[in-house]
Amino acid sequence: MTEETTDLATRLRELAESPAPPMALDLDAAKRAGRRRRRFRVSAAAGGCAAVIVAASVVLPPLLDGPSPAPQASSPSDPARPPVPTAKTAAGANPMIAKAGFGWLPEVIRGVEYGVGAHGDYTLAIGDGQYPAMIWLAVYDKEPPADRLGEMGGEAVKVPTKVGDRDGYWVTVNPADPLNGGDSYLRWRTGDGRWAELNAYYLDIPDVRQTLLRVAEGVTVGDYPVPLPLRISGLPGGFHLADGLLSRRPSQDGVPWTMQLFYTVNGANVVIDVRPEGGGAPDGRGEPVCTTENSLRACVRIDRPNAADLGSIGGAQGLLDRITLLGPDERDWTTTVIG
Amino acid sequence: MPPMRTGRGRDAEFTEYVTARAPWLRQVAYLLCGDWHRADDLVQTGVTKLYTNWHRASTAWNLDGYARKTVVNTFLAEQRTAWRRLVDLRHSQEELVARESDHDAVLDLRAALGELPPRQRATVVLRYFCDLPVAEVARTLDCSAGTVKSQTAHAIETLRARLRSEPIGTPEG
Repeated sequence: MTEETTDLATRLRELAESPAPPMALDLDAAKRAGRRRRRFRVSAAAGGCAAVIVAASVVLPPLLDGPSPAPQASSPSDPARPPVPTAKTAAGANPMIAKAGFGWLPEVIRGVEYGVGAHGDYTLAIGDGQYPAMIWLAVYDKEPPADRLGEMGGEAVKVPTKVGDRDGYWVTVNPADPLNGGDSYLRWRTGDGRWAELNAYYLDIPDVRQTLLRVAEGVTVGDYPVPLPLRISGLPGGFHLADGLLSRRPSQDGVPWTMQLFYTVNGANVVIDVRPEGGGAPDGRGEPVCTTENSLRACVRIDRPNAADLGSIGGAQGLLDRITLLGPDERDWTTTVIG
Repeated sequence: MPPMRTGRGRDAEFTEYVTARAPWLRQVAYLLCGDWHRADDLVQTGVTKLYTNWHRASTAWNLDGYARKTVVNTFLAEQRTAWRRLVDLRHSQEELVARESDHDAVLDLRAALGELPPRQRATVVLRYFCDLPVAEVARTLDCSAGTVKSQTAHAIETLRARLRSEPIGTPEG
């Protein structure tokens, strides 16, 4: 190095070591997102063998009954059970369509998350705490490779089992431990000839094996629109859904749930964010325009308003005016979101 | 955490590595983008990619190089996407406090780096902060050694002009 570049190196080190705010790195979030990406990538690479990630038929509170043969709509008068997504909606009326449903879930599960779109479709039955119990459910058109995620170092083996009266198997690196050291995979052939998979971890409960078999028995396959907490009277042409998320991470951010719909419009990004009132503000680029109604807060944010060109509907405020918030009671949410 | 393979398991290995190396990755990211919060986002994204590919990364002969390349590529890719950033506008009080305590010279260099095109900035950071040889920078940026040399020359020229009042290498002025 010359003297000049040596000095540059010194200055770069000084700059790198200059005072900084506390680091904001969320390792668990990275792992969760990484798992989603792997699932999406592997399923996309399966050549049309789409990973059809499934819906839970029931959200909070978890069902403690026996497994149900299909998602059952609950009576509106039953306060213990939110309604179940059973009916198909008109094409485009719901941006979040799950492809199958959980039935029975163990008590440790506190809710179900959904994600659809460019970053992968998923449904996750989740507990709470720093390492919440997680049960992922996916459906494949074809039987996936034993080590679908390529992380068992060529040691994956199948241990046969039965899910009800259907043939299935555990995937593990140790035949003596079908639960694979707590990162458990259970697969079985569904009634329509496809393959379903549960992947569970952080499951700190008695008899995990029987619990997962019982969860598997309750799984049903079908298209189920996910009830959402808003109704949009209509979206202008050119809106394309990039991602949709319904998250439930109260132990991380203190917010019971958040729902976000990410749209692209003329190359700009439009985000509709709904969460309980007092649940904080959504992050992101663009000044949010917000409203509060029925104890929920909705915000619309556009990163580049000129490019979005929503003047004909009144911009972000105009879009917000098209939104009706349905309140925090999930029994009041709708599967007919748009239109 | 669930052991994924043998030994300590995938998650434990990943957590151990990132916990140890995240501060260094953050410094690299900060020099690339000039903003601590965005640096955190770059590291978060880079670490997520690292986890996604951990089965391959963890067997790389140069894991630091793999991680560094992931962060650099994330930075360069974000220069080209309209999606940057729907979630990075977290300008907070901590940032203001940090800025107030910056030295003038440090601010000058940060501003000068900010005027460089992204690939030139990456070249400077990799060459002079990470102390990588030209060939390794070329591998990281997927370009030729000649390109690295020319990018470096252009960058140094720009920095020299931008910092003319305090020339690089002549502290006495």
